[in-house]
Amino acid sequence: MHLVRCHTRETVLAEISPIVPEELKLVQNRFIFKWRELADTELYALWLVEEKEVVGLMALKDIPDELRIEIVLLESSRENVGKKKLYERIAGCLIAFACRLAFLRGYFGFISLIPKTRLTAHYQTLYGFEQYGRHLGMDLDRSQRLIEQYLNDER
Amino acid sequence: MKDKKLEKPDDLELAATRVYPHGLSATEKVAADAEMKRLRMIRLGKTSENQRLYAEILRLKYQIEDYLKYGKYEDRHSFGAFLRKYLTILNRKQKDFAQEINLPPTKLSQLLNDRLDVNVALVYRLEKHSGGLISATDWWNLHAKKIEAGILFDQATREAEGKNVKRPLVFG
Repeated sequence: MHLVRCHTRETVLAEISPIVPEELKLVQNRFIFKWRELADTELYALWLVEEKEVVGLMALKDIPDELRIEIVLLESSRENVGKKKLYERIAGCLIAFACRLAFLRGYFGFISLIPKTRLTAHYQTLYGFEQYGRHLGMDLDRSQRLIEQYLNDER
Repeated sequence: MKDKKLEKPDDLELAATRVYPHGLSATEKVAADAEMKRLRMIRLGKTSENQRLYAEILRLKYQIEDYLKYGKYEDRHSFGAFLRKYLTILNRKQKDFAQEINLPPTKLSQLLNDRLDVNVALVYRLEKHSGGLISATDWWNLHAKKIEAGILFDQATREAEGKNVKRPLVFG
């Protein structure tokens, strides 16, 4: 997968892997949400391969009874939000990673999140989410489209 | 003096970079989750056989990708083992599947048991059969992984072939 350096439009290799609380301690000051206070979630970090720098975090909740994964929290690091941000595609890559995980776990690629109301339409436009009551969700070909868009570089 | 409002990210930018804590009260969250569960069950009930097949093949594809990226070669993850899983997902008899990819049933049986080497023609057929979801290169790399493991650990052949080399380079 890759991110795009906003200033030069270069592509930069990135990876996503689980992150443990000890590692979170080292990067927390570059994020505004209180990541170390999250309980009962799986935490993942998106990092730049060359610089070994964490630029995105995501907390997921596995809900096997409903065959779904909920994105509890997701954040691009401070320097990657706003007009002067350094890299694009951080959130898209993390959401697509959650979709892929939801296929691997046999959930038909189903993921969901609870949006701030005023951001709902943007999540729908940006990523293809559909409304499920207060939640937004997506599965199957919508999830696969996101995976193709953000995780598959070769095609 | 800078206008701080101008620097504040707009909603589109926030959606493109964050998912916020849900911000619901405990009661609201319970209600939202119950509604989600109800709608999820409806969605699952409406999932067609074709959609289930699609999801299962993608699941297999991602298992193959992860194994190719992170796993060491193991017989239980051989080309034949993954092809067998593919057939199980399709719920196809070997004979029928062999016909669908224009292969003699005996050859398919040998492939499933890793007793026949994979060729390029076959992996193209498998890619086409999966609707393009599992690529020819993924199938091929499963085969290549076995060959790679063989090369790494076949000390006898390494030594035997080494005897054919005259004046090997020596360093240090």
